[in-house]
Amino acid sequence: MRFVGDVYNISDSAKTIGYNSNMDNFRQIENNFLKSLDNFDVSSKETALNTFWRLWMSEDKCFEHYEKRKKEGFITDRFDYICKTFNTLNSKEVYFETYEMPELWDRVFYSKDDNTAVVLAKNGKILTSYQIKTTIEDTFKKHIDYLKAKIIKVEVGDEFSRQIKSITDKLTIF
Amino acid sequence: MNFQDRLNRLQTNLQFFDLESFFHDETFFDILEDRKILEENIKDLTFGEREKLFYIDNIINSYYNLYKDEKLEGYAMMSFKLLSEVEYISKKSIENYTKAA
Repeated sequence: MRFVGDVYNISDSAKTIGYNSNMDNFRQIENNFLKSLDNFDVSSKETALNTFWRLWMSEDKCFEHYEKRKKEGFITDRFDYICKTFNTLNSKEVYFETYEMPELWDRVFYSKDDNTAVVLAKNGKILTSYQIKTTIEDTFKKHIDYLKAKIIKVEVGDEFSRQIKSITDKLTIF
Repeated sequence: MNFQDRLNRLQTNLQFFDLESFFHDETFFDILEDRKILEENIKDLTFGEREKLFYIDNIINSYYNLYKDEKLEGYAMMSFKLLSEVEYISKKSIENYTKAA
């Protein structure tokens, strides 16, 4: 999939991608999220439920999003939200989105199977986790049209991939 | 969709709008579309509908001020740009409101 601008090779970290961002910025999001994962306790279903909010910007935000997604019929309960969020993070389709504001960039995980997306902010916290009502192409088109966003498809690092898969697997046994 | 339905959708979307997700919240683009169409057709709105739109504009403005207060500068600049594009800024809306009333 190709959007605007050039699509650069993941290994070419010296190149600038989007607006004033490079692969170091992209890795920064990944590393920040991995740090947050230290505070997410998946030793039991209960601890997972009690600590999931630590991956979000705040406890209130996590709760607000949970309520919103429940109203939309996307999830049945809080644990379902955790599972669906990690299933999406475990997907292999990831995009890096940059904007005209050089200090802003986001990372969008997309699951084709469920048509779901999880967005991580540059501090590595979850901004949102939701089911897309239309298509990912339509969503990105709006970002490009309105925000002049530059979006490229990227790959996750091995460590990130390993840790997310490990948590996703643990969640399935609860 | 008639004006009343659009106003209701706009109000509901704003009520549940998430400042941090901002444009990653899918309802943001519905908000832009609804506000733009209502602005373009302000002369065809009833007095009650115009009143409601005026009330909604105040909510939109308070969102923008929140961005500024929270010093989310990048997002504030971006929201300002977007809001300007569809003439969200209250001054303009108040002018239109006064003209149409």
